[in-house]
Amino acid sequence: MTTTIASPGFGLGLRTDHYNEILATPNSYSQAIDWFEILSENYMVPGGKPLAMLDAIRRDYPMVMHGVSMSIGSAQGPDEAYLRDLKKLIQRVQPLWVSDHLCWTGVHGKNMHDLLPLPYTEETIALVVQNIRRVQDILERPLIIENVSSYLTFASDAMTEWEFLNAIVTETDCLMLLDVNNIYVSSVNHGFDALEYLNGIPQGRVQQIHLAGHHNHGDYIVDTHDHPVADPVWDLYAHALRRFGPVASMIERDDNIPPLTELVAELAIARRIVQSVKTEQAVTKELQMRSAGLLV
Amino acid sequence: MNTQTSTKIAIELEATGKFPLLELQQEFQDFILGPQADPAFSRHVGNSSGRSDFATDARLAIYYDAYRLRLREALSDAFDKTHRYIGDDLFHQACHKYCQTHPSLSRNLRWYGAQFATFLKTDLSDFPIASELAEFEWLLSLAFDAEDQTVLKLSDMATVAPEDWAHIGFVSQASQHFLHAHWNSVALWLALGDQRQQTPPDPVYSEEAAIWLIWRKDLQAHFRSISAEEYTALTGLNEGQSFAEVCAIATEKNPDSTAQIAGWLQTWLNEGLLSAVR
Repeated sequence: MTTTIASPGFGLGLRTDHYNEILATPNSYSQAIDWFEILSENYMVPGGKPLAMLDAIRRDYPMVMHGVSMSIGSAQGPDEAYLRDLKKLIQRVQPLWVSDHLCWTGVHGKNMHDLLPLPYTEETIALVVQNIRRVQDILERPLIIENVSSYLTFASDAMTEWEFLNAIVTETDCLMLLDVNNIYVSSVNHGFDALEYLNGIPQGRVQQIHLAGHHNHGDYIVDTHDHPVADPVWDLYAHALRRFGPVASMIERDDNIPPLTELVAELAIARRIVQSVKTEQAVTKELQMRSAGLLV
Repeated sequence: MNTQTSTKIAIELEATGKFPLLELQQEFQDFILGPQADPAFSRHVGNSSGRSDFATDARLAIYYDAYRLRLREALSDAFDKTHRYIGDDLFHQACHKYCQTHPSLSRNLRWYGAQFATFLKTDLSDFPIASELAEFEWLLSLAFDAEDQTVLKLSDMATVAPEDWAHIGFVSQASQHFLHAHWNSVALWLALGDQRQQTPPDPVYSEEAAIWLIWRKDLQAHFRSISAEEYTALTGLNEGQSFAEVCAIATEKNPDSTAQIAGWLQTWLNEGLLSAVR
């Protein structure tokens, strides 16, 4: 059984707006940011500044790679040329792990550049399992899969999203990137209980947690990554920590990007929540031992 | 579901040749790409039981609209000065038509704008400088992340034996591109990037195209105008001519071009335009 890698701590998504600041003052941030997550496609270019910046920052920080267009849920399977390019980048970056989304992005050579939802059926499970195995064989490493936020479900759905996810993770023996914001967004859009979702995810399978902001339209929520993390998402994060332990966590900000110091301050909230959950669990454990008469 | 069940399902699907998932994905993709959001697809949408107030057409519209918005943002990033020059209305209209006629065929949004300048040539035919400005922006972007190669320096020439000059050629950097500009698009690009300049220059047409050389040096895209003779020399090298052949062609046109050719070579080497001796 695949086991998780020990948590490298707290990370941020690497964004071009912050390159200069990170490189100019490496010591200022190395205490506050333990690692960076890169968007793989941003560096799947022939050369030049993107790759030069990547190499320079990689010298100072551990990295994980996160893709948006593998299309692991496509009925036609991921594209061979894409996987070859991804493997080349993996060899360059030597990341701690590589993730992409449990979704599809297009078929017949076209790309929608969106994380499109899958029907939760036995047929989809069979195809996704086949696709994940093929990707893992080509990349010669485990793939970490992330739950996406969604705005619709399918009439053909035969199970819940977490049952679907659980079946794939169990059958492929792969690990998960749990996006707590996506669970919250989908729970509001589809009217399910986010805690039931979290409790449906097996323990020991979560390698990473994503935190992000969203845009609340009142009737529904869109996963925009252009706001600070919302309070209900922090609450859900605390629940996730209670269930999965102090998993490597990071904040994804893709739009309306603030100065690095603001994101570092937001990351400090995650650190505080981890600490408070640890304290809460230690106190609970002590109380249980006292009540059992093991401590006086 | 266990491994055997999953494999069995996969084998059965292969055998029947029927892939309900592929059909659904094809239909969803057709819905997203369609000229209008076709309500027929809503028959596939499930009932999110707890949220009957969030209507199916509103759910589908999120995916339909997000596709166009995302591609428009990618085009605006790649052609930010063209966008600024022609303004939101014209740019958004052009993007909308481009999205309808050019589905993205790349996994990476980076390449989505590859045909945009050519598209603008017909779509904004009343505004021909816009297409040329877009072409310039695209060539700058190609130079920006072109493949990394070694850079040949002037000092490297000391290692070339005198007798070898008769047959050696040069390999140009992959970042090298040319723009044939009938309009003052480069001046316009510079003006649009200058915060102090309030009004961009009026479009000016020239019968004879100016030739702009674009390349990357020290991680930044560079450009400068070049003469027709220097263009002939550079493209000759790119097509595989030896340096001696390039010299012969230049001398044929201008018998006194020795100093000029030596000057070009020195400039190319100083500018990091060449990657190797061939």
